Amino acid sequence: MLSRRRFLGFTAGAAAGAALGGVAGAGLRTLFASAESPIVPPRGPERVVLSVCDLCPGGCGVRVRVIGDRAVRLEGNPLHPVSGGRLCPRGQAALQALYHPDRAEGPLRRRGPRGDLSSFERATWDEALGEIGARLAEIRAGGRPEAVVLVTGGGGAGLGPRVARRFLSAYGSPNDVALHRGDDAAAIALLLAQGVRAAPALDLQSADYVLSLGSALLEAWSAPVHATRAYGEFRRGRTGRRGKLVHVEPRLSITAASADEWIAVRPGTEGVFALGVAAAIVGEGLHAKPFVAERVAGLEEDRDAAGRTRPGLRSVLARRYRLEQVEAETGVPGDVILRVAREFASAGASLAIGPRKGPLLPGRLFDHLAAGVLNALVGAVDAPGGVLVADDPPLPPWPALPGGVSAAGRARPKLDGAGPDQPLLASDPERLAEAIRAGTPYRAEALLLVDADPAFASAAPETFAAAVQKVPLVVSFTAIPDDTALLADWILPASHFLERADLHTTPAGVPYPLVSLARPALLRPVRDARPTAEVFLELARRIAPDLAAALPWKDLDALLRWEMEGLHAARRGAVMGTAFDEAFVRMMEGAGWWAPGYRTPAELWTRAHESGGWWDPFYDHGDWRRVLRTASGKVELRGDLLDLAPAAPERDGALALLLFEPLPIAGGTGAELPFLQAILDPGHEAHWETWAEIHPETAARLGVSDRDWIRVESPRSSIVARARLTARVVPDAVAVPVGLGKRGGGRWASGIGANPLRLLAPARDPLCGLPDFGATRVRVARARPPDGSA
Amino acid sequence: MARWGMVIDLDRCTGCQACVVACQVENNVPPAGSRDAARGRAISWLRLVPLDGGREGHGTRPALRLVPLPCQHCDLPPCTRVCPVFATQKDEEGFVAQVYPRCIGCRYCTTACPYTVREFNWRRPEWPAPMERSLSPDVSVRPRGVVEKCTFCHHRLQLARDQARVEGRQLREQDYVPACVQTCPADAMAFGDLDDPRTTVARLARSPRAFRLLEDLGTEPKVIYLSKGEWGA
Repeated sequence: MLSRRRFLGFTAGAAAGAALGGVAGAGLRTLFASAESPIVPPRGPERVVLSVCDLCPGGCGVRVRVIGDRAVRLEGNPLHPVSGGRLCPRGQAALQALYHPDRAEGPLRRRGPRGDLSSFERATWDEALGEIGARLAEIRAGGRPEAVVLVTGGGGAGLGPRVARRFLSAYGSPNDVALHRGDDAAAIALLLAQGVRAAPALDLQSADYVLSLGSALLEAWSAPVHATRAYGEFRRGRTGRRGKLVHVEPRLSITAASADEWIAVRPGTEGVFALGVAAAIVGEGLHAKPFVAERVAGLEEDRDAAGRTRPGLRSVLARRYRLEQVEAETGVPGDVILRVAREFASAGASLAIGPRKGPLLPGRLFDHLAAGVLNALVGAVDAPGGVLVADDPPLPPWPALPGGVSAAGRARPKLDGAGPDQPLLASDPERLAEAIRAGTPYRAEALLLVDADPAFASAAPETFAAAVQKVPLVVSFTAIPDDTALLADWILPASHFLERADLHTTPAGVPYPLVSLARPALLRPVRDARPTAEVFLELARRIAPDLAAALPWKDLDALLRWEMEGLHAARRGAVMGTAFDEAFVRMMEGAGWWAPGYRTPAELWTRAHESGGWWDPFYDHGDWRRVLRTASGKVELRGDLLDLAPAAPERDGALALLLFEPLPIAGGTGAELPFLQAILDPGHEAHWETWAEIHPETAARLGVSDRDWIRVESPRSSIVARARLTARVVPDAVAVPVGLGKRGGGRWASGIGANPLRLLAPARDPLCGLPDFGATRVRVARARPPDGSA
Repeated sequence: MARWGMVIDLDRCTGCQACVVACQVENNVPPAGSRDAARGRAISWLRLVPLDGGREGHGTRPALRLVPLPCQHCDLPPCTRVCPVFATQKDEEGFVAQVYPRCIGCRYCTTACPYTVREFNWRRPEWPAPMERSLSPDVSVRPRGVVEKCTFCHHRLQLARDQARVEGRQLREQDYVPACVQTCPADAMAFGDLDDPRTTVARLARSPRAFRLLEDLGTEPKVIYLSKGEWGA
């Protein structure tokens, strides 16, 4: 039967065909063929499976719609306390990662030169684990277990990285190095002020006034869906009480666009601004005096344990952060600083947030300490609307680590020097890369990369690329071969989160302990991939009996049951539930009762899997012994550290490089997925390329027009980007997104955009030793378009 | 008969774009590459439009607004009047619908729509294997040469009606929401019957903050926006 549409098409085609003779015949056939609807997705038996998204560390509980053996849709799990039934764009795009055409087919062994996917050939899992296991057993038998290095990335908080790290310790190496650092600076600030090792959790939804010091609160936050849900409540969830958000940053970010006020400070002066506000609050006596008197140390001059006099913060503020000084350094009028100070001190529940910009960009410790000062002054410490500290979920301890060669190896110094050389850092990946390159203090003989792509997403990508090539055995656990995997000897395909069971613990930024459970949505993986945790359990069995005894589970399910039995024995918390269930549990626990709704471990197992997991929603505000573990038992204000404001940049004609992480490509992942490439930045309608935001005045001085290609050059390297002229960034700066410019990453990421992390100067945060992502100065000039661009 | 409409609260919206991707996944929109995107040929039924109000200054509200823009499902839609083949029509419940087999791809409607939310299929849709496995059977894949647009996830209404019928009950307010509304982390979007005064959308639509886009054109859109509020209000 000829449809109306095809008839119209046919008459048009016939006319054209008559005009062109027989030449166009083939073209016309394809024209007609295209008019038919090409694909009819099949129906089949349907089911819903609960899982946990691991495309970022947030760990949102999800519900997966499965038709036959196909996963067709992800929604948030309404009972899950992180997602609350919602998802971010990354979670929504997760099916593109599951069915990505460039996922590794199976284990790949390198046979040709490094850096090229065509050098790899397929191997079986048995071959891969046999060869890798034999090599690792050999190194251990040689008494050098410390020569094996594990680098973990900033992905999900599931069992993969946890088992990998335990494997490494049991194997006998101290070289457990995490790339993850988004929360590091904020966590160090909390450690210095409160003596607690944890990432701070913000009670945004109970706050009345939020002063965001360059934070990416509404972008790539630790658990973005959790933060955005809280923001909705902060704005409109409480009748007659709308919170105010003031954002301080040299660039009008997506977070700033949602704010009630954007205060455009000079690059690098967010902390100085905050201390100007603090000086005004203290100077006018607006701080919460009873709280400060009872719970805060260091505002006035005092003596330390050795009896030396320490200057009080009050004198530092009065001397170093006077209004006119702060005005001159930040470029913000004094009346604005004073108004913000008065509002902050009088708004009810006020909260200052430090400049965490994303999973890769932690912000400077100085700025986080300055935010902490403001919170201490208004009593936003462990109070509703303030900074909270989450308790760890009561999971059972794992079997003890072996002694002998394993204990001796663990006692060797770490290659990255974290600990003794850098007391505030748990890991120092850039120093690790230097140590591997130099082969000192000892040689690295094997490098295991779990969800880690340091040759792309670290503060020194080129150094890492060089370091990787120094190691005789490099194994990358990844799904879509990334930049570092291309340099490896083995690529072991990691399963997608919808292909495996898993257990996730509390993500950073969420104030209550929780354990999320995932069941596999697909019975068979799309590719010949395995859960990373199971691969390490298998390697442990292949290498040595003492190692297998430390990781005694035969598969993920056995490990999950161990964890849930321990959780049951802890006798607290409840399975996830509705808002009513949550209120009930809070009420009961507040009154000293435990009413879990399960009796046996088996019942907990079943009910936790039906709801999405376990949690303990009761937060005991003002449990000071838990949240203030400093020597003084009080919040410590560090006037000594805050006296040393970072130096103003030289007047060298160069521009400050401002890095930011758009949520779709945050943490160095996401560019692989076309739905995410298409939505990089709604403010500039930017997609599929790296852009550089420049103020029109600066651009005019440099002779750059809107959408010109420009070269951004630092002493270290240079990249080419598309200029976007905008008043949403201060003059004398250039803002560039992080997350594009991959060599690997499959067809949609490879060769798209440029990686500004390559520009970074090797500068360190002077207060804690983290890389200083804000210290790089660049020059900008017009350039030829990059290869392959229009 | 219900009059389905949407309310978008710009005071809650953070511009995260979860709605944009949720819409594409739900409605079998094919992935586009960088080349299609550069030529303006990538399809998106819902996108965020930046409205830049001008200069920024200290102590003032940012001038940039990010506005989620789906089809406005106008009560007096300019697009349906220009279609020569009746491929787009407003049905009795107020949905502005597109009938793909009827569309001849003349694109009069894309020109007539003042909100620029209609998209033309320049290419035959393609899903590199095995991506076609994620396609939903609830929404038909569109061929090359036709115009497509936001349907308010009309297929979800049909499924919800079937479910209610199976359970022998009336349709409830939360039974049917589009994919964008369901995923919104800030809870900035609401959906329901604008004519039923008890629904959340009807209550929000009465807010003093409510406005509609290009109201002076008289298109009577059924997407209602709520402006940003003042501190303490």
